[in-house]
Amino acid sequence: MFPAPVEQLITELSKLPGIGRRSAQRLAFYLLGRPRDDAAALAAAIIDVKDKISFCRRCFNFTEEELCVFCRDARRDDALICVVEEPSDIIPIEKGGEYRGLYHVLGGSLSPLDGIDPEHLRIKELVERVQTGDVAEVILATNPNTSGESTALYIADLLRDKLRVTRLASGLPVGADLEYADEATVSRALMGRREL
Amino acid sequence: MYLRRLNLISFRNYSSAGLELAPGTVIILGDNGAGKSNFLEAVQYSLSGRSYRTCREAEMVKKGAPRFRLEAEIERNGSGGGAAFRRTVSFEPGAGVRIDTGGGPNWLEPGSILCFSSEDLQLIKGPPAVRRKFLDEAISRRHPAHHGLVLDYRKVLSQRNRFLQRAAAGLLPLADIAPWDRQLATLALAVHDARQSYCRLISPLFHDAYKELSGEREGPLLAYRSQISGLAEGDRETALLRAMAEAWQQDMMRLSTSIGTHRDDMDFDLSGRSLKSYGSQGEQRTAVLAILLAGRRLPVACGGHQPLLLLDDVMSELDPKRRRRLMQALGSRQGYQETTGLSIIGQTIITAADRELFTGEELKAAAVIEVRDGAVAAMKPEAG
Repeated sequence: MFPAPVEQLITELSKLPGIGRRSAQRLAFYLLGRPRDDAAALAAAIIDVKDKISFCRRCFNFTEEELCVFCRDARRDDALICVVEEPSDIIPIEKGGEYRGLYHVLGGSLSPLDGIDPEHLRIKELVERVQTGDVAEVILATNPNTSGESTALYIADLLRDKLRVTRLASGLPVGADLEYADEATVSRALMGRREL
Repeated sequence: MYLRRLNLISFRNYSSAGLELAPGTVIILGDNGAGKSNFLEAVQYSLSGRSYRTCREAEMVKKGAPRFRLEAEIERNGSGGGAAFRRTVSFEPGAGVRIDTGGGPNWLEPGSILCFSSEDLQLIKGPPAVRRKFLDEAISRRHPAHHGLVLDYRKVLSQRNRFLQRAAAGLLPLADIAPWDRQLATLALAVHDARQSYCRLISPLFHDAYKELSGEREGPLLAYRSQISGLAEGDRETALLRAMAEAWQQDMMRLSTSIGTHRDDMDFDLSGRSLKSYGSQGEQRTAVLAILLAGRRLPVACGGHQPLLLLDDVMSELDPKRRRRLMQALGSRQGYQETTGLSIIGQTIITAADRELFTGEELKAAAVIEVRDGAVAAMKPEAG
C-alpha cells in the first residue's frame, strides 16, 4: 500500500511495545512530515543509547559507565540490596525516596511457560554479590504475581541461611479509597493486617 | 427482588415486546421456537450482563436490526413500596454495550440471578471439571476474591507442568520446582478450604431440597472429595509439600501434576450409592434441581436477598409427581429468614411448551404469559 521505505518504517515501529500497526502508521506519517534534522536526531538518539548504555557491572541496572548511578554513590547503604525484575522497577522505589540501599536487576522473572529458567536471570550474580560483599539484607521486590512470587521464593531459598531475606508487603495503595480496591488486594491486605 | 417490567426491542426473535411481571411464579408458555428461552435470556442479560447461552452479544441482536435494547424495571423491596429502578441496556455491534442504570447498580451481582437449563445435567453426568467450575462460580458469588485465587492456581499449575516438561528434557534440575510447589500448595489449601466450607454450607439445604422434590425419605449427601482433605490436621502445608515432593519423579514421568485441587470432585451419595454413576435419569435431574434450589435458598438463609430464578424447560423432563413437588418447592418459604426485614418475595420465571404440564391450580397461582413468534401474544392469569 505504501512505498517500500515507509512500509519498512511502519513494520519497525510496530515492533515497539504498546504500538499497533495503526499507531505505527501515525508515527511514520508524522516523521515523514518533519524536517530531516528531526529524523536524524531521533535516529542518532536511538543508536546513541544502544552504543553508550550498557548494564551496570554490579547490579545490572542501565548505565553509561561501568557502574550505575546508585552503585557509584558512596552515600548509599551497600549492606542493603533490593532485588527487582526490570530496571524500570527501580523508578517507583527511587521516587518514594525512602530507600537508600543498592539494587539488583534480575532481568525478568521465572516462567517455565516462557522458557525463563533461573540461569536466564541474574540470580547467580546476586548470590556472588551476597557472598563477596558485606550485605546484611536482601529485599525481594519482584512483582506480586505468580511469576514474581516464584522468583522471590526461589531466591529466598538460596539466600535464607546467609542473611536476612525480606519480601515487599502487599496491600492497599496509600491515599486510595477502600471502596475502589479490588477484592484480591483487600483480601491480601486483610491477611497482612498489623496491630496498632 | 423481582422484575416488574421488561421491554425487548430487536432482541433475538422479538421486534418489540413489553410485559408486566408479577412477583412469585411466572409461567411462560409457547411452542418450540416461539421465543421462550430468548425471553429468559433477555431477563438474565438485562440484569447481569451475562447470558446462559452465549458470551457474544452480537448473537442476541435481531437479524437485520442495528442494535438491541432491553428496558427492565426492578423492584428491590418485596413489598412493592419504592426501591424500584428502571434500567436500559443496549448493544450495538461496533459501539458496544450501553447501560443506563436508573440509579441502580451497573450490573446486579451475579448471584442474584440463577439460571437452569437442561444442559445443567452435566453437573451430575459431566466430567469433574464441570463440578469444580460450578463450585468456584458459586463461591465467587459469595466471595469475589475466590475467582482470583482460582485464576492464580491455574497459572501456577500450568507453569509447574511446563517446568516438569523442561525438567524431563534435562533443562532444569527437578528440585528447582520447589517455588512452584510452595505457591501451588498455598493456593490449593485456600481453594480447598473455600470449596469444602461451601459444600458444608449447601449440603443440608441440598439434602432437604432433594427430599422435597423426590418425596422420598432419604436424600443424597453432598460430599467434596479432595486429596487435600486427607492431609493430617496441623501443619497441612508441610504435609502437602511433602506429598508433592514425593510425587516429583512420577509427575516428571507423566509430565503433569498429580497432587492439588485441580483433581477435586463433588459427589452425590444416596445411601451409599453415587448418583453420578448409578443414579437414574430422574434422580440425576432431581439432584441438579435440588442443588439449584439450595443455591437459591443459601443467600436467604444467610440474610441476603432471594435470587431471581430462571428455569428453562425443566417441566417436560420430570414425571408428574416431581412436577407438582417442584412447583410446591418454588412457592415454599422454607429456609427463608422472616426476621431480617429483607425482601423474601422472590420471583421464578419458568418456561414450558405445554400448558398440560401444570395443574389448573398452579396456573391460577402463577402469572401466565404466552409468547408466539417473538411476540407476547397473551398475558392473563388462567381463568378458573
